[in-house]
Amino acid sequence: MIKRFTAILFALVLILSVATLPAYAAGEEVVYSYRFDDNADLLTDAEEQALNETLYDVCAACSCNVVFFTANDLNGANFSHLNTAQDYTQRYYETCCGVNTDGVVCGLILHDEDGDRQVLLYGSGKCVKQLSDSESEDIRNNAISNHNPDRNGYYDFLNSIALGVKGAVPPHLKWYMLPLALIIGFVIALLIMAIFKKQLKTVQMERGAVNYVRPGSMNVTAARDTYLYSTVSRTARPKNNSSGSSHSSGGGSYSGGGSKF
Amino acid sequence: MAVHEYKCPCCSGALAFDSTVQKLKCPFCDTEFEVEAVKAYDEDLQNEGTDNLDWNTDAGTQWTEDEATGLRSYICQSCGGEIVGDQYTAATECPFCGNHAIIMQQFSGALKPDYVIPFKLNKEAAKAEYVKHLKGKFLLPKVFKDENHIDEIKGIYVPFWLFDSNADADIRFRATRTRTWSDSNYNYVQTSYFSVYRAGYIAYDHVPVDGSTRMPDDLMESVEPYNFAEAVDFQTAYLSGYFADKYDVSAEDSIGRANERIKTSTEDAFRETVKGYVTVTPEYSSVRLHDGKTKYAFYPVWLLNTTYKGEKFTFAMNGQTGKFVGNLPTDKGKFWKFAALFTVIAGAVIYGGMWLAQLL
Repeated sequence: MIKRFTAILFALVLILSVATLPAYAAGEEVVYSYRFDDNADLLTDAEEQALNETLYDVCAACSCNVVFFTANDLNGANFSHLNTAQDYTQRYYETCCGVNTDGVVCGLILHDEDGDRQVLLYGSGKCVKQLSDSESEDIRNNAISNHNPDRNGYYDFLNSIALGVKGAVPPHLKWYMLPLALIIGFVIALLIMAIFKKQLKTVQMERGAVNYVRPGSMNVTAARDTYLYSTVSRTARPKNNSSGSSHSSGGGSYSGGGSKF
Repeated sequence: MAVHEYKCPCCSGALAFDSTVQKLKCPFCDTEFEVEAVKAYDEDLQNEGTDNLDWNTDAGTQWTEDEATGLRSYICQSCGGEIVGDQYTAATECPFCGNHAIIMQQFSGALKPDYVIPFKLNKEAAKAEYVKHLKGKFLLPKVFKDENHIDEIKGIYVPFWLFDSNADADIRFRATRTRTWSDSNYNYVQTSYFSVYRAGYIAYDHVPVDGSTRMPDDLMESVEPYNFAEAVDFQTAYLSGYFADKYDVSAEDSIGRANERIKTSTEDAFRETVKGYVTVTPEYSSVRLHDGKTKYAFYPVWLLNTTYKGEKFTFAMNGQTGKFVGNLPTDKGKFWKFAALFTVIAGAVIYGGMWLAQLL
């Protein structure tokens, strides 16, 4: 029996491995790019070069396109028709990398549709799942709180966002996942061992006397099934099953959002 | 007290019942005899009168009161040796000459069993089943399996009370059915409740209850069932070659267990007629027994004893069907070693699955 359980476990590992091979194989054929467009001219040349190096690292680590840009306002962009910061940023990404391609776009717009300064961070393609709304918000909030451009400059601000993306997008698990997996594994192990242990116990009281029923002796003389009452319970249907929300102003699907500051 | 042996008409050796040929067989000259023939021959012998074998019993000290009430001493009619048993010993063997002795007083009057199921399987079959019982047990200590040492094997006729009864039943269940549907916003579950009533009757034949406190009840019930169709009218000749105890639990004291088993099976049987529901829970049941009869029977059991790390392990085999039971010790070191191994493997698979879920 030990061989059977070991075989099942290895088969499970093998199935999971095989199932993921196409994803890896498909990923290897795609060439991802990175770019930084300082349209608002907020960074020095040296800072731009340094940020590009960071974006290169992010692109390699995350295996996705990385697009960062700055803009003074929403004017002069013929690719965006809704005249909102969200539409501007998402269409900007699609212009660079295409619709629903795997990538992350970060836009820093000094004057959005309301005249406010806003930073926007979205995930596209596979990054919709890997960069959830909450993770995007955490990265933006961290940059605004701890790397505010009014104190440290825009390079530090954008660099912190790039590093945040580098930490969030690659496959990662929360710290408690390993002990959780071991606890679940321990429960499974105990169930398996209980099956083995049950083999050793063959002595127990008989539950009834089913072996001694006189053949053909049972006769049902009365049978009534009476309906009493009913109850109805309802639960809301989940609207979206993905871990990250997916929303768009007209093109592809995106996760993330924007923060004014 | 006198003991009784069936003598071989050929060589006067003590006869033993051979389960293989279902006859009495002389272990000395190998002659086989029909049970009825030996019984008739034995009656003739009894009419010849008996020798006076009284002895002066002044030697030794007086039994204490407890010993006197519990112990019984018998004289072997083959060698004159003393056979010590207790008040419930019905068949045993002489510790000096090994001849099989049957204590006739245990079967006189109201104590005589109505039926006996003769042994169909011999000691060799019990040994073979024991070896088979140890196979394929992953957590069985290797030492226990390798040493494979049996301290003692005994064929015992165990006293059982058999209960026949008709049962009338009125049973009410609370049952539910569910229906599910959805719209664009919600999933709905409708649970409908029903009161389900069933009445009828059912009959039971020969429900056995262990009549000996010396035999663990769970062990005796674990070797069930017995096929009563093979039972025969009781004759002491069947006991020859085996051990036997008379009952020390009365039929009245066994009724509770018989009722418990019959009530449970009756409720289960009527529960099986309730179909088409998701849940069925008994709410009320009334089981009324009538035409109840009780019989006293001897059922064949092979008992095997062994000792491991100072703990005694007892196994039992149904002497009619060969069903073998007995709890085995656990290798605790192996248990925790493999629990840790499976924890790591299962944990790694789950953790890997979490990673893969991120990638897909």
